[in-house]
Amino acid sequence: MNSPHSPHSGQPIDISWAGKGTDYIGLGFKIFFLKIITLGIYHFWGKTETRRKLWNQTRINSEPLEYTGTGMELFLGFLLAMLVVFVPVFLGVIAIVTIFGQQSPLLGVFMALVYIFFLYLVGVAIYSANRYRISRTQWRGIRGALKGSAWGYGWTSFWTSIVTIFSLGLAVPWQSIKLQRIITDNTHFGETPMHFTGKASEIFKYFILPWLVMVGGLVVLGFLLMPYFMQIQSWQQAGGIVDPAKMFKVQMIILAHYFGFVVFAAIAYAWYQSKYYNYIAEKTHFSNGAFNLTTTPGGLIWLTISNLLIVLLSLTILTPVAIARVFGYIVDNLSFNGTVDIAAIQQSQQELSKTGEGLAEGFDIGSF
Amino acid sequence: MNDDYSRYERGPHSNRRSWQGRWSDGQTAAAHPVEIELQRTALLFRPEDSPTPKIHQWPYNAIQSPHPVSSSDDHVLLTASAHPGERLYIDEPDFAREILERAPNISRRSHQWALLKWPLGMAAALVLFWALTWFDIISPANSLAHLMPDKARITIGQGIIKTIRQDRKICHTAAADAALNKMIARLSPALPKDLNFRIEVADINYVNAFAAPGDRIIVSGKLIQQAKSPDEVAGVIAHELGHSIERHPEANLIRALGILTMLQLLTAGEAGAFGDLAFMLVQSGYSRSAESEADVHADKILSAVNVDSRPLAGFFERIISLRKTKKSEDDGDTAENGAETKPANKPADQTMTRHPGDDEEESDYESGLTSWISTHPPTKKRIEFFRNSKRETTPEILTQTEWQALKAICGKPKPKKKGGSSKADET
Repeated sequence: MNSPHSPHSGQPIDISWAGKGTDYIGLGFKIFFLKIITLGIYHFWGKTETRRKLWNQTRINSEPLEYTGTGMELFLGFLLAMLVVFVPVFLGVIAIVTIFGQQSPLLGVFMALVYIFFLYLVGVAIYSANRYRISRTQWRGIRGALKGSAWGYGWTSFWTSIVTIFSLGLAVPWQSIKLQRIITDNTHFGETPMHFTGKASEIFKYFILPWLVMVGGLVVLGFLLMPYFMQIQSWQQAGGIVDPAKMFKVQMIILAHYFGFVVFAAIAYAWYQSKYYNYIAEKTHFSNGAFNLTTTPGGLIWLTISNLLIVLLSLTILTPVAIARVFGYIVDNLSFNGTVDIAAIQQSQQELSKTGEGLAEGFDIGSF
Repeated sequence: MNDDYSRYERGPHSNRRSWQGRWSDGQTAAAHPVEIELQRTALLFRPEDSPTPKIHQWPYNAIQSPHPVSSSDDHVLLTASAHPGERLYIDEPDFAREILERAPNISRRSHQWALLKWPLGMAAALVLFWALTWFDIISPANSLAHLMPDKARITIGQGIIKTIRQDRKICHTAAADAALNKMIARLSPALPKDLNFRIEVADINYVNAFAAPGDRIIVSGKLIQQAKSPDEVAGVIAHELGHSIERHPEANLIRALGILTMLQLLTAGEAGAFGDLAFMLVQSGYSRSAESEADVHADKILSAVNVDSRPLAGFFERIISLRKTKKSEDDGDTAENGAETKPANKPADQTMTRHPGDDEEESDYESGLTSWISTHPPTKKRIEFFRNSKRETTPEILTQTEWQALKAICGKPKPKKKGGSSKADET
């Protein structure tokens, strides 16, 4: 043991994943069965069970991470969010419909306000869910902590979303980097902070190409489909009965073009996403080093398609398998360059919340 | 090293084997090498690099693990409830099997029970709650309905009446209003003083009557046309007033909202499809016990003001016979026996309940309101209940002229749009 902890004495960090997706098949079926016999309530405990296993199979210097959250925390958090946010909205709609009738313009105004408020709350929910998960993650008994304000993050997320919409999506890298900086700079392991040095200008070059490809793709799609739409229009103007077989053929051709565009756009976007994730990791510093992530566009595309099939074909029963495959893919490709002075990391002083992730659950956010 | 431990030896059975592990104190992420021994009732270890040697003792029943331990594990992570933050990590084979034999809280089974006990308990409580309400042992919706402030009931009732008014008009003629008021005045002395009710006739082209929240009652013009005497109409109104007195419309609304909210809460919003089911269950109308409660009120009201209740029985009977000729034989039998067929209808407004059905096939479908008769037929038992009355109506509720005026409240019966003349048509 190196007893005096000089600033640059430290150990290398090895990150590894000891599981595989198939470890989670039995878990998926078990959770499904327990959900049935508990009228669905096991949902929150099943989520906790899955996370405990995921965290346990993640090894830092061969010692497992630990997930200390409980199903009850998730359940109470969800109930709280429902009572405070969703039930009032639900009752508001019912009240307006019964008092002013279904056609009342007040309903539209109310729903628009609710929608704007929800757009803001989504950011708050993402931050709170991250805070809960990080605070329930331990290694060698030291907790993680996400400091900072969820409401502040929600506000930044809200106004940057509006800017992004008006920029026709060109501001996406700027927004992501801005939000990522808030999260990373507030993330601590014990009392040791992480530090983010990413810049939107450095990632923009990866974004402009997929953006151009997508915009160009839309233009090309328009040109290719123009004759078919004109064809349909001329049939409609001519009146009478259109040969259903002909109509079907044209519709199929249009559909095939759309499908082609979606595939094309997804490949371009996956390429950016892979570059983006790797960049984020590289710019996340901790102690005397930084992370390194090596996802590939092909890996992400395969993961997305195969997971979609797993979830759909199993009627969502095997969702834990899909989650574990994403988790495992990231951990497998994650490493740490540099050293960490492990013995100098002090326990977190951040107070623990009693409930978890309620809002995020309500909005159906939550990656793991 | 063993000398330090020897004073903790408690008997001949103690196992002298020791394991190497790492201990973290919960203050920093440093790992201190320790040598671990498994004693009779506790796990013992001493940090080897500690300047002041202190022996730590973790009783087996206080030992926990963040993840279930199985005997084949080649590494084990342990915590102790009395020492939050402290962690003991042992990566020697065989240790998992040894500790599993001693610490009761780290097994797969113990972990599963810890995860399952709350959801299972809550599900059991819900099933119990459902059973208690099903058998009318408790009725939270009714209790809540009685707690509802009048202002809220009235506002909701107005909203519902308003949506009905969007499609049909409320019928008025001076003579008919006077007749209706006379009928109401006859019933009033038998009603609770604080019942601030309002009865209106709507231009609805099928036989129906319902109570809405806020003590509002709507009777269809067609029901009045089809009635053979003022006594029948008075009987139907008395029955609806019974629902109002018991606050059944409010209870139905609360029940629908409650079930919907519960389902959404319990399944984390996954209950989209179940939500519709809940509405269907609730909109099927009043329970059989609610119907008999309203019948008891109706009979009390009618007897207090000296109105014969036998005409109401006759009215129900005519509906059944009309239905019998319309529907297939076994359908009809079911209706007659009063076997409650659980909802088969699409959801309509859950806050009102349709009443004595209609006699025209097409009107079942022509409006969005489904006829009540298909789900809650007037039963033989209910008919018998009213038939047992021995009273004669004295004096007459309405004069013959007043009765004719009331019958014409919505104007002359409209002729059918498409062929076929109905019995109600007069030329």
